[in-house]
Amino acid sequence: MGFRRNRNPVPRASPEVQDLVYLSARPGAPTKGMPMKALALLTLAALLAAPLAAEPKGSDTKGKFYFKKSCKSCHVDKGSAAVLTPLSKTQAQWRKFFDAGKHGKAGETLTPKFGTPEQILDIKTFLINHASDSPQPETCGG
Amino acid sequence: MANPAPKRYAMVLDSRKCIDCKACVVACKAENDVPLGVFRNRINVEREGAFPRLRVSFDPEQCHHCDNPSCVRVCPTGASLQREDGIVLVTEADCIGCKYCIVACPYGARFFNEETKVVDKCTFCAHRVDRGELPACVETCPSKVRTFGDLTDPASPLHVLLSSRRYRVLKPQTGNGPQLYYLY
Amino acid sequence: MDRRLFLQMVGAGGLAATSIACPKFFGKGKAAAAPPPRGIPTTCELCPNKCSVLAMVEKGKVHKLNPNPENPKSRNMLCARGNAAIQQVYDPDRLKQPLIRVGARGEGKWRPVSWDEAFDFAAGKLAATKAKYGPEGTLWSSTEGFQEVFFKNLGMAFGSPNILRHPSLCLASVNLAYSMTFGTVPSFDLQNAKYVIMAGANRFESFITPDTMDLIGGVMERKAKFVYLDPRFTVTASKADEWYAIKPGTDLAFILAMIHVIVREERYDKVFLDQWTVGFDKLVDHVAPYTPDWAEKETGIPSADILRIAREFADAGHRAVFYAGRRSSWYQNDFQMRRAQAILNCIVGNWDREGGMVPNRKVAKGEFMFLPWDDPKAPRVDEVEKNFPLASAKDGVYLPLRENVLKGVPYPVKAWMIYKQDPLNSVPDQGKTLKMMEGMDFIGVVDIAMSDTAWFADVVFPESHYLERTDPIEVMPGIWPAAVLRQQVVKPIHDTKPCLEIAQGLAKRLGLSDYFDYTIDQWVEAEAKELPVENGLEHMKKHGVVAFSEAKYGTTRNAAQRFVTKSGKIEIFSERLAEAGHDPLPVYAPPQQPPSGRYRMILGRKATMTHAALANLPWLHEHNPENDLWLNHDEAARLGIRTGDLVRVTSTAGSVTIKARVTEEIRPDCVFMLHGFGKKSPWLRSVYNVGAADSVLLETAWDKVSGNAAMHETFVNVVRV
Repeated sequence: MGFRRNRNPVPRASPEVQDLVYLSARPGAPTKGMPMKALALLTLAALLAAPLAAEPKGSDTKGKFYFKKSCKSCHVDKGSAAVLTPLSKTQAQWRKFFDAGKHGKAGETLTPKFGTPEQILDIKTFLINHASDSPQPETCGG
Repeated sequence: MANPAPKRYAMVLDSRKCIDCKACVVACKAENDVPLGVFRNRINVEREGAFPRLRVSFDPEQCHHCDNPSCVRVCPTGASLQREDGIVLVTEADCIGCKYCIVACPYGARFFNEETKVVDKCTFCAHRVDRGELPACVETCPSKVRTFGDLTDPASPLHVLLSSRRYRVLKPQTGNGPQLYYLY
Repeated sequence: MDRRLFLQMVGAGGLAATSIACPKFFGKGKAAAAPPPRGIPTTCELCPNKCSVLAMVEKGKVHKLNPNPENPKSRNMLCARGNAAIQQVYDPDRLKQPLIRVGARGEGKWRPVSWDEAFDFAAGKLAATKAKYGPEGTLWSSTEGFQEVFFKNLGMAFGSPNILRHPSLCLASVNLAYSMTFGTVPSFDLQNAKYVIMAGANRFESFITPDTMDLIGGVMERKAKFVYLDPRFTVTASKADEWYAIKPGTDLAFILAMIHVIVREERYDKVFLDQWTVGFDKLVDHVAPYTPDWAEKETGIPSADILRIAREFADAGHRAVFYAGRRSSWYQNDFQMRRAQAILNCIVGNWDREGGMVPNRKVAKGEFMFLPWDDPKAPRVDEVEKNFPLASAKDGVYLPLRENVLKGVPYPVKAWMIYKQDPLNSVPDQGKTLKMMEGMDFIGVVDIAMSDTAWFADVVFPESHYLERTDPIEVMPGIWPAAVLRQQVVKPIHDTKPCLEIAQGLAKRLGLSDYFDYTIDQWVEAEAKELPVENGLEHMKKHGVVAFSEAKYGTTRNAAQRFVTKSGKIEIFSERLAEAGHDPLPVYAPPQQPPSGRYRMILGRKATMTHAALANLPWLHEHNPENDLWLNHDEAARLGIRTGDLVRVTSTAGSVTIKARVTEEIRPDCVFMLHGFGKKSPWLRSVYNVGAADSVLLETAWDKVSGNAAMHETFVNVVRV
């Protein structure tokens, strides 16, 4: 009893580690000729941060705010558009949506109608961090 | 308005459900401003056995609001009295603190209140009951050990329990006619 | 939506049976009764269940708290602690105005100051710490409460990554294990279960919530079967159909053997497993070695009993539950033990069924929108991302954090703000916590009473009691979810403030006012707007609660359901655990046993004082005047110890002197003491220097996956003084 979903962001690796992970995880990334030790380090880093790799780098806190402000003005119960929460899509689906950058059937661009590029990145960060396949340990109490 | 038939208040206790959580005891303290160190109600604990074959029982107890209360009989001033609905009370103004009633009670339900300088005991929260509420101990009980009601009312949940379950009273041999009924 | 709202008027239900028409029966005295006085609905704060109460006020004073029957989640009851809350308000030892320390830390010399002076002082110290060490040089720790959000937000707006909440002293391992399996933490439908197994969660004694009442009803009235494992004969053990004094730390072996039997005999719910889960095939091979005979050697529970219990459990099917909580973590394998529970529950198919495990529903509410701040630049000092990548990063991990702060890695933390928490008593190894406090340039505490931790602080901010303030509306998720309001019942009787105003006072001086530019009324109003009831705010003020009284089962049992897990299914085998370097299925390793002459120290609570903060209240204290050390009769005879003898109890962390209680009600290899005594603060007069504090003895150990403090990993020796 008394459990409540944790709305906090998932743990994120430090920028340095993320870059390393990105290098090693990207198909065709240059690994040839690297010293074994560095490679091992990369693999280790990748292993540590594997589920967290390639997170966008906006602000989770601000993303939640702008998501509510920009998106939830329509995407709510009895709103003018279908209800939308971070759980509505998987991380890959959210990524795909933001990479395409098109909204609705008309396909209008996200900026400027729904926010500045920075704000859109914040929203993307928030939604990916809390997507339906993200790790979301629940917390106790308020 | 015609006089309705007299009520008879009583309490049924399902001790098996008692977990000794003390909610009733603390609620009573709060409701009735009972001083520290003395209690209008209590939970009797009995332990027996050797590890790991052990047993413990919890039996809540307070004034039994007897049909034929010995405390009322011995009171020299009439301070101890029984209402028509069976509730046994002490009128503070009339109590001279002689403590005969404390000795006469077979259940150890009475004590001398050092703050008010008179004898004190459970009143079944008569002030609440008269407003149509339940006694504080009954209302607050988390595991719902206690059922309070009017024995003369066939629709009372108390009546249902007593007509369908086996029960006992404590020390029936005293002839006091105790009105706390303990379910088996 | 067909959810039926539970909007019954106060007094309409439950009381009719005793209504009295005529006041003629008075023997003497009082005049005809007035209609029943109507209490002010509000919400109890003394434990996480947050029961709804009606506060009876006379002449500006709260004289009684009665249960509010409108909230099904509080089951129309109020426990001893809830009743005793009044005493917190009128406690003569209460914090009455802000205090600044003048002597040495812990010396107890205080100067009463104005709020302005207290705010200026603390803000100056925080700003100085920030200037020298960055915002990450500050630590903000707190325990749950409806105003905790404001304290947390202040720390985050200040720029600190080091927000440390209580779950890693509480249920983090349970929450993580069930989240990793089901993508959520469900409730257990004890009202309708037919077979309940509980390990150590001493629900009839330690803590009174609806689960307690439902289980008592179930066991005593519906004849549900109840099996209980505990090294100690607790009240819960006394009410169980079967009690096993299991060898401490071996619960996982018992559970794995149960799974083994159910798998071997194909008693699992195949249809459910096929449709909703991944990894059952791997489980089949995994549990093959965990036979009941093997488990008997580990647990001390006869294999015939394990076999029978497993069969009975599986036969009860979706009405069988292995109950998860509530209790803290005890061993370093706690997460894996909880995962095994989750898997056991899963394979009998009790998910989202009446009498089984039910995902929590919520009551919708609005949210107040405040200006968001930048995310912190520095990583957390507890390195939770690196060492506990699956744990809740923003809750943090208490014990690993303390280790790092003591070592000054990865960077120094020099200021500590604490809200509603007493780390000296709630965190194992008091000596280390004291050392951590010594290393701080500044310590500020917000509390209602002078806790031990407050006693060692530099500034103490007195918070208004819950009966003196209005808090945010809180949604209590569950099978019968509720949204509750805590509203002010009486005006603050001392110079105290609610946490929001304390946060605002500091924010103003730290240049963070923009983030706290609102009142509690605006906050509550925004929340009330989206409640599923007409005139939400008015309703909440009048009733205190909006709740759904009818359970809903099976909402997640539809083809389109995607569980919030990596695979989208319930994960018996967890890839995510494997990726993080943990066992993807629970692997058993025997716990270390106490060497000869030493005992495992086990902990517990009583419902009269579940949390250490309450031991001082006279109505509760008179039932627990002093704690003592439970020692098995045979061991006591060997050591020449009798009840009442003073004994010296020593671990590697510390040593205390305490009276012995020689008893049959504990295993010979364990000793036990009640939490909440041996306080260092003289302003807790009932328990100051009375008995002993368990936190002095407890050693530092944590669960490997969640970082949750492991409270039963301490061995002590006992000597008669």
